[in-house]
Amino acid sequence: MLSKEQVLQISKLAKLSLSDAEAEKFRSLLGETIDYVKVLEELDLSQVLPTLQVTSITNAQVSDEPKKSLTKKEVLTNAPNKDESYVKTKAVLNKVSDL
Amino acid sequence: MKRLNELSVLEVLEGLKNKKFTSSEVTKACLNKIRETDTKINAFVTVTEELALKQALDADSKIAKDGSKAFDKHKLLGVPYACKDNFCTKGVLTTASSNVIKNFIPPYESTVTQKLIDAGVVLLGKTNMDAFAHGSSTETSDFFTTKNPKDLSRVAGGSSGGSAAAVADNMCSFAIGSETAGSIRIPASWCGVVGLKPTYGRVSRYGVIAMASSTDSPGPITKTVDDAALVLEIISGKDDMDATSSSNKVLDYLNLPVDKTLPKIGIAKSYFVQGMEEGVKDAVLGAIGKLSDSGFKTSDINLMDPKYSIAVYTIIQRSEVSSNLARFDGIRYGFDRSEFGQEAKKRIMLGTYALSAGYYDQYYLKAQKVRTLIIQDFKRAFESCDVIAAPVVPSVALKIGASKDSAMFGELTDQLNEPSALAGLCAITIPCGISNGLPVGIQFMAKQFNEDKLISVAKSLEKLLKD
Repeated sequence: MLSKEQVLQISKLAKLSLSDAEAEKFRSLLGETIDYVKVLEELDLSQVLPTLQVTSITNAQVSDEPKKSLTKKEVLTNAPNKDESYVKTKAVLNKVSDL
Repeated sequence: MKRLNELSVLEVLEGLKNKKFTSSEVTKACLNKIRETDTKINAFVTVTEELALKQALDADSKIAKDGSKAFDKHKLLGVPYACKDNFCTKGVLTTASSNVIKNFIPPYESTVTQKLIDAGVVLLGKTNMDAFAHGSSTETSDFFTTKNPKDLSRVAGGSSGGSAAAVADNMCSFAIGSETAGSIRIPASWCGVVGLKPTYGRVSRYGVIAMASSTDSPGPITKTVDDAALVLEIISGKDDMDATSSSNKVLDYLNLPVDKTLPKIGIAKSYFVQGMEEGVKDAVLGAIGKLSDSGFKTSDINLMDPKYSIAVYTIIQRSEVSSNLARFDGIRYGFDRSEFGQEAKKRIMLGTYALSAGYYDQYYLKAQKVRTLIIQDFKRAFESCDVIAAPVVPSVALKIGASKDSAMFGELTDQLNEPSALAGLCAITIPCGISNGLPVGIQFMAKQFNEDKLISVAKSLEKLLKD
């Protein structure tokens, strides 16, 4: 069973803010799921390589040529905060000394 | 005589080519049906009435001008369809049934919907789904639950529930869904229609709002196997915008050469799990019996216990979900992450944990190793058969509310679809009987890019069940 601190740490990594009630609920639900997947420990995986993708494709590339793309206006259609050319977001750096 | 909205895709095309009716008439019939019954069923998030009527008029002009030649270039000209709301449709609201992007208007078209536009379709609207495809019942939609047209107290299945319900209730000629593990097969089976999950990489994922990138497969939900075959041909193919899409030849799935020898059918005994409803078991075995009586060779085959796939799929899917949903930052589009529903948050949390430092080897890497065993297991099975027959889901459609507060409802319901999904195989489900008044589907699975074998067997069964 995960601890409350672990649940809060995971929520921080996932950028989800949880209420105390949610954190407790997820603690129980996640615990149940983690217990369930322990079934994989029954299998001998010592000689097994992982499968990362199921196609036999490797090095899929496209040629590096300029093509018609979206206009600035189209890109900015859905941004909640924007000006003519930019998506606006919260400040990342607060002071010149942050640079 | 069938109403225009009750026709299959091929019947609509035949009628249009022979000028028995117009695309505008078929489209209006579908829109009327949606108006009549969708307040009860809730299949649609957005109905694009104006656009549909315009597209139908355009189709009718093309047909008036070029006659049946118009259909050479546009193989689905004038056919009205419904699209799951996780496909980006340019200029048309696309929500993935989630409050996080309930106002999102895509500035670009997904490859699948672009191919359908090029084929001349009419878009009736976007269908309801489990939010971000996280579920097997369409109950986790942030908007509303889609009801099963056969019994309104039951779920349509998910996550492509809206699409399956729309087809089953004759609100459209066909629909598009997507499957990560079961999300086409389960709603198709529970609503009594055909669902085809193509091989992973057969159909481009560009413009599909991602769930688990290593298994997501867009595919058709239709009234007949022939319809699924035609739509599959239209939407398949290599796409430079999707690095995992295959350059494997796209066949003329509707007009496949007749098999000289019938495909061999393996019966997956371990998929008849404990607790399976007797009616489901009887319907599936009965269907296999009909195939066997008509000359198909069948044999029992052994496959790994589905319980391992449940664990593997839960870890891999939730890990990939946590990564894919990281893009929803409320900055470039959409609302704040606090708008995620409970199911999405739950899956993001588990995925984040499984990928985090100190746990990656124990969970994600281990799951990918067991995935290798699952793939090898199928390889072995396909040495003695061409397609594998199995039930789709251990029960008929569940009552609304059955999934509430479950830690792993989706993954447990999907257990008979997860192994083939993890291996990237293709599969099809068709209705094969009724249990307690509700539809039962049988599924056939085949090796990658063997959709032709699936279609061949499914068509044979469809014909036997009709006779």
